[in-house]
Amino acid sequence: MYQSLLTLLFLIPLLAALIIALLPQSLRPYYKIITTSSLGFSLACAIALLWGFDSNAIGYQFYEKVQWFGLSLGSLGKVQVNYELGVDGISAMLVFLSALILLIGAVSSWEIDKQEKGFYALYLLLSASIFGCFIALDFFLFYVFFEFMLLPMYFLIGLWGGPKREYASIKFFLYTLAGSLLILLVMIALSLSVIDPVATGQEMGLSATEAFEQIKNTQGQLQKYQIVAENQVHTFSLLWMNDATNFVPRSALSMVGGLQFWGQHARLWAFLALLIGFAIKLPSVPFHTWLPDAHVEAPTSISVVLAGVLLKIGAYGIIRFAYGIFPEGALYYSEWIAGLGVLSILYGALNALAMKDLKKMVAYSSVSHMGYVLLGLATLTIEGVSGAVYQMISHGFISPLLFLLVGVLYLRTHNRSIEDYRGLASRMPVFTFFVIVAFFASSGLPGLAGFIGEILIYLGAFKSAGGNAMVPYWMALLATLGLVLGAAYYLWTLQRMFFGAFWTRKPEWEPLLGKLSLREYLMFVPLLMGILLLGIFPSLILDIISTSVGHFVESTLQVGEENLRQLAKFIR
Amino acid sequence: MERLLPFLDSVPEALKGLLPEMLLLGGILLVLLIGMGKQIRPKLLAAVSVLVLLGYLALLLPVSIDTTQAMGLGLGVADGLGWFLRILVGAAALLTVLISLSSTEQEGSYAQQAEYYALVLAMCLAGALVAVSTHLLLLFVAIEFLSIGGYLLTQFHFTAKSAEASMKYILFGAAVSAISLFGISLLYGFTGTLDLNSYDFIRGLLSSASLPVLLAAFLVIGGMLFKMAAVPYHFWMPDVLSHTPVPIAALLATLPKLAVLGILVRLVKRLDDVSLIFVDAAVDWQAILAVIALLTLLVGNLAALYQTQLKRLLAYSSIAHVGFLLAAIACFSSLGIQSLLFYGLMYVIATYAAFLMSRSADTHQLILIKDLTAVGRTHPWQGVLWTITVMALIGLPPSLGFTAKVLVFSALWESIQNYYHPWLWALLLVSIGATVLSLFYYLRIPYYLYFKGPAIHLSGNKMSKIDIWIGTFLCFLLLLGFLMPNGLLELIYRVKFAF
Repeated sequence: MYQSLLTLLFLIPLLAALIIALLPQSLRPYYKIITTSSLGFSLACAIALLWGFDSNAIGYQFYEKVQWFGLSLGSLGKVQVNYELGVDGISAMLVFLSALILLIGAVSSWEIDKQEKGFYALYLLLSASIFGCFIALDFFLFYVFFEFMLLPMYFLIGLWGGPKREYASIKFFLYTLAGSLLILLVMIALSLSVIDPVATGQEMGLSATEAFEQIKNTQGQLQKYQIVAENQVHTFSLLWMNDATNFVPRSALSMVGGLQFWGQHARLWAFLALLIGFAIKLPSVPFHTWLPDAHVEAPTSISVVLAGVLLKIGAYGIIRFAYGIFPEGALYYSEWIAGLGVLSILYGALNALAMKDLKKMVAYSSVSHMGYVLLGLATLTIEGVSGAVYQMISHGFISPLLFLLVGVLYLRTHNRSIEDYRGLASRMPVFTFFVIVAFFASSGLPGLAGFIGEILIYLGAFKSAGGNAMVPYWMALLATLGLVLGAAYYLWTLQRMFFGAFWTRKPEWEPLLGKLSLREYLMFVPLLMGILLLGIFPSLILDIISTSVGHFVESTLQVGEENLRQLAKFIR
Repeated sequence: MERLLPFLDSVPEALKGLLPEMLLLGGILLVLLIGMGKQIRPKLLAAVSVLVLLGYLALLLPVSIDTTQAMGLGLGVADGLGWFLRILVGAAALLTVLISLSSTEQEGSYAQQAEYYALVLAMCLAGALVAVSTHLLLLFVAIEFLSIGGYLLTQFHFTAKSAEASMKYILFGAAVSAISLFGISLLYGFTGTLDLNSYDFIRGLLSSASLPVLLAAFLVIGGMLFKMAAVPYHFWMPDVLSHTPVPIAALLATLPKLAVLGILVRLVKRLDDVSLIFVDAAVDWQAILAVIALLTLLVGNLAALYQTQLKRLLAYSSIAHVGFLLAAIACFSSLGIQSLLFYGLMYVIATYAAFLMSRSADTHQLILIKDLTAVGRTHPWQGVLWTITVMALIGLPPSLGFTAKVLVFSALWESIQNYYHPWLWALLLVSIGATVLSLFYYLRIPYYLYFKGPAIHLSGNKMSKIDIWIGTFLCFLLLLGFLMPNGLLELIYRVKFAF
């Protein structure tokens, strides 16, 4: 039953996209139904995934593996690319989040009224590649999904977006492609450096079961230069990249005698390349400028997906790839990563304070909140990393709600200027209620989702400052300013837009600002429930991720220190 | 006479390996004969050409690619590399004939003439000969053959502009031919033989001073770089491509480049082997090739940014792709050769798809990018085909272009790991940067297809059914090659090449 659940998860949207592309225009009303129901089915898969997930087990579950293609290098062995899927606690949670947000995004996109066919087909392609990113265990496969996301996004923003959509879409494309090419560089170097000990064992003539027992043996032989290049089966699989003993000695990224550039070991450069590549996606200051443009121009449903899910792929990439493969980099650069995080928190918040466009304000608040994720990861404490993951999930609930709420206003008046409204609370009380909850949740009010993540991150930061010294005290202290600033821009906006006497810039808007529709309730209520639930019962998430996070922190610290000590011999 | 007889006896044996090329020769004569009739029978001409080319490919298929043996009286070699390039050259010619069937009014009446088909077949023949040659004499004759075909085909718009482009091509080409002939004569002077495979050649190179050898080799390689349109020999390409009909432009953008890949690999490898032995003044051929590749990437991509004509844009993009091909050669490894062949195959498919799809904007002979405005909305399927083609050209998954780029990058990484060569490192970084840069101009195509509006040519375009089918087939190959590259990779891995 659970055997090919993950394949099913991303195959359903893909097939639905194909069906929509093939259906004639006359069946146009059915497009949205197909989209929504197929994503509903994906959500069911995601729930089944969480249901069957064993939160006490270390390692990847729902594992699937099929050989995809191999490339013979002659005397240098071969490179094998696999179709390899699996989830741990972190990715299972993110898959669930994506399924939910994508479904809500699909409901929200019912308001699209031009070229529905293209929109829904692209939206489903985007959904499939998002799922693919979170479940791929083969770097090559991940990269394919990661890159493939760009084209649907480019069209979705560029065709259905606002007035400056062309500029925004190409900016998004360029930034992300530049980042992903950095990732590609590292990926290729990794594949040339890492071997799959099981397959290598088979190549050397051991039977499959034997080879499995002899992984350690094979690794030992590799490190003693006893495996000739011809027998080496190189791999893109994450499972083997985490272990330094799978790196061929004297290859570009091996601990022993790897390449050096400008006096620094290639592994540290590779870590930096991955970090920057994913930080662009995250986005962290100073790579963030594509995000406000993309958000402002994107249609509401795409903003929802962008903020709710896409940004998390950046954070997920840092956890899984940058930290997972090069833990020594995480230790070596921890202060820089934390610094980037604090910078993002403060700079994002200050920008949000200054924005006149409500959507831009929300977009900058996303930058600020993603800064928390970086800070939490940099601490390398259980609290900090749990907080970072929690922040990813809670932000995945809050920011879609925020964008949907902005969408409510925009749909009615086609104007989002903060200063063009006053006293909305008197005319739209329910809307205002949702806004207040979302704003408070986002600014970290206790009892709501945003609080747990942020408090855990601060706990982690201070603990780290006093303990493993990954983050200095002054950074942790400085970061707390983010809470104040967050409250400031939200409260100020509330005061300006919602309280006081009712007034709008144009009198003809007044009748437009009416009640919420049923569809809007359908989108807001689940998100609101989620925000409340996450705020009151943090264990819902912490239980699922705790084993994975614990394992992640422990192995990153342990392996990172060990690697750093070895590298110190090779660094001047 | 006694010495001549055994030689004559060996001729049929020697020509056996060149049977496919013999068929082409017969085909050329047949096409010309048909053309002599009073009636113009374009359909018949095209059918004969297609059959001849299919026959050529069919004769090539059973040829063993695992062995290498001399053929054609020691002028050439039948090895996997030559075989692969012959197939690609034949496929390019076949595609050209197929897409000439539905040439639009604006492109002119070139496809009515027997000479046109004869020239396309001749280009294929010449390209195949270049691909298998290991003898500088055959190489020179075949390259000249190729060039003359190209000069003539450039003319087929029969306008003043195309005459001008052809003239530029001829003048530039003639000068380069003369220079490369001079280089060949120098090499002959040093070694006393023109056979790259012979022992005398290597010994001769070893016993002469390195500077003159370097000079001579530069001159010879210049001739090939001219055919490939690599920097600094790229100037002819944009002019020629923008003033020729679409099928010819696609042919000139692919066939000559692929044909010289083989001999370039062989020659550079030989020179590098020799220069390794020179202790006093070793010439770093890897650095030289890497620098040429780097410059080609930069020039092609930067110049493409400023184009408003679609075919000119594709010309500069093809120069940029040559940079990748050269980068693969500069790796000097078997992975490099594999990635070269893979990239070459991708390049043929994607280039033909792009040139073919440029007909969706075909309103006049100089196709402007803005003629594509809103085509994606008025003709959704053409928009999809364009998008897949652009993805392959940029190198985005899921298209063959992505796999090809990954292979070239892998080959570069592997060589960096083996040689610690700073220029390779620079080349890798530049090729990454060039990929980002290429996004600027490639994205202009979907931008006009979908984002711009309203449509300027409401009557729509006149892409024929057969063109759409061929385009669909090519795009299907681009996607299939990504999803199932296994067979292709195995085939390419089996390709062995002489020395």
